[in-house]
Amino acid sequence: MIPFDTLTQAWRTERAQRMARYRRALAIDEAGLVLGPLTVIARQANDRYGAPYLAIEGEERRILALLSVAYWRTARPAVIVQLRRASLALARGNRPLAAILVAHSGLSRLEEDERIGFRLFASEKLLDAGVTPRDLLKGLGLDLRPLDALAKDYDPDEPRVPAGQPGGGQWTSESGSANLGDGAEDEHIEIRDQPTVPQTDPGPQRSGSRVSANDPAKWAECFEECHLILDRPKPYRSSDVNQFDFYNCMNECLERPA
Amino acid sequence: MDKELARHVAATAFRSAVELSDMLPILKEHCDASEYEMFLKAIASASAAIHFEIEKKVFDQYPELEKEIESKVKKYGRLI
Repeated sequence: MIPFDTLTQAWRTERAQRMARYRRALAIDEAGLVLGPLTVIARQANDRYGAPYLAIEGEERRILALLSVAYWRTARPAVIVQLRRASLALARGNRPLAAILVAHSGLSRLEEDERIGFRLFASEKLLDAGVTPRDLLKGLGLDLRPLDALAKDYDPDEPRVPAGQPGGGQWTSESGSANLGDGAEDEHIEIRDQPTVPQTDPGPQRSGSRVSANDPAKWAECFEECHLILDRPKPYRSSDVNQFDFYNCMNECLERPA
Repeated sequence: MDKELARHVAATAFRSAVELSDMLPILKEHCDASEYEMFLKAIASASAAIHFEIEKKVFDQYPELEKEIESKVKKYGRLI
């Protein structure tokens, strides 16, 4: 645990620089997805071919915790789905689309306030020092239900897109929202202007014992999640890696419990 | 189906899907964005159908062939 005095001292040192570049809305820069006083909500990483993406796999709780701290309200897990889309766009080399998707994550503009700045700064430092997102939110008296909802659907052992790939370890909710229980709705950060997921031909009846066969909704969800892999730049002209990763993504998504 | 034929079917199916996907760069170059997205989805859908309707049936019978393809792609970056 970092002593409070250490945090305030560090803030005094970095405050001017950070507040000068304060981001009132989520933005993608060289560090990743940043908000407020250059707080990195999701780090930028590079896949095995050097393509940048947002490292969301395994960081879902951290992301939700930081967003909750920023807005002082409960962040819905649905925002993770949109950030994954942005990450895929980034990996495709389409940074403008990634920025648009981030802008459509439904989060309102953050007030430019030094208290918010310090709150985010301190929270990021604490998380980086090993404080768990749950303990952070609990300590701040914020709602833990989004983390619970995430934990309910998130099984670290379940099959996932391999790490190191954009969209790796995909976790999603079908409707783009999570049922968080009684009375929580009003306190949630609103998810506005959620892009409509295009309807996709559910395709022929699927066979194979390991996939959730004959479920058009699941198929469409997985197709939407995975098809952009075919659009990634190839590492070299004759590479089959995109095709292979697309199949893996579909297989793992279809095997994932609803 | 014997294993050699199964290997041929799986490899041919995979290459067919790759051949479809290989059209994407030229489509991207010469189509407008909405037309390209339409073709991207169409090709992905056809690829997925090839995978699930042909390859998976072979892999159900010979699971080791799936590993074989996987190891080749991982080693060489392509199916050889």
